[in-house]
Amino acid sequence: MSKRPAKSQELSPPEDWLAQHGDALFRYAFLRLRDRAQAEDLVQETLVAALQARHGFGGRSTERTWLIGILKNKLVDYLRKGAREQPFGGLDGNDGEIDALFDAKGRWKTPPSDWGNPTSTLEQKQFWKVFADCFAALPSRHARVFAMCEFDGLDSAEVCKVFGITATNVWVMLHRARLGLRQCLESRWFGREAGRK
Amino acid sequence: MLTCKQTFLLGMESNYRQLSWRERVGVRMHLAFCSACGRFRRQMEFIRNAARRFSRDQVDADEQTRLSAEALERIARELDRYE
Repeated sequence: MSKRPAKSQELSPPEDWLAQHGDALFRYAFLRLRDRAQAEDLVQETLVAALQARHGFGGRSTERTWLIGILKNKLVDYLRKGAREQPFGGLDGNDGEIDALFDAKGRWKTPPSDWGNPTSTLEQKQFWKVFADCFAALPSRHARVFAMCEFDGLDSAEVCKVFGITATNVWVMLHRARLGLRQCLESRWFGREAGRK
Repeated sequence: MLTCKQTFLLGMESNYRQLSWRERVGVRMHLAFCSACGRFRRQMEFIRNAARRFSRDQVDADEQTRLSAEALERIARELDRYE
């Protein structure tokens, strides 16, 4: 079992940080960036910054929360810088994905199915494996916007600032990400369940 | 009466623009009669809840989401320089 820092919220020795928090920091960064090398770099930057700032640790949060807070700032800086260097540009043109859902009369080609009891689904370990896979399969710009909005609860105005895009684009990308997840979950989880019945 | 597609598009647009009174009534009317669109809305709600839970519980369903041995070593070396 990993050692927990003392209850008085003191920092554990810095040489333990990597072993205790490295994977959690990596996971946090990887889910939001979806690039292993970049996520590893941010973990390193975070730990270096933490090392230099450790005497200012006020003990108001746990060590883990403190480190995640540093990582969060690094991450936002990183995304902001990336958006400046390589702007998102416009939307990817056609609305083919949306058109493909409906027939010429504007009716669902395949009506959305009933996903049943959400609570019991969320209790199943296997579901989270599928969810992680489906998230990993999203195009990365949609996934990054989705992560900021849905994982971190940032509102669209904040997300606009980070990525340097309009609110409309934020919403469109968020929506595409949700639709992508929906389609993936429908075929890989809910479809499978229906098939079993 | 709005079509499912129109209802879908208005639902998306309502996030970033104020729908007109007419549009809002149209959406409500449609949803009152269309169970498919109702199920779609519940699916979207489900995805939102799942995402929140996924990040809150730091679900680690994917065993690969951890630092590689090389990365661990590289970062440890880097930290040494600052000690």
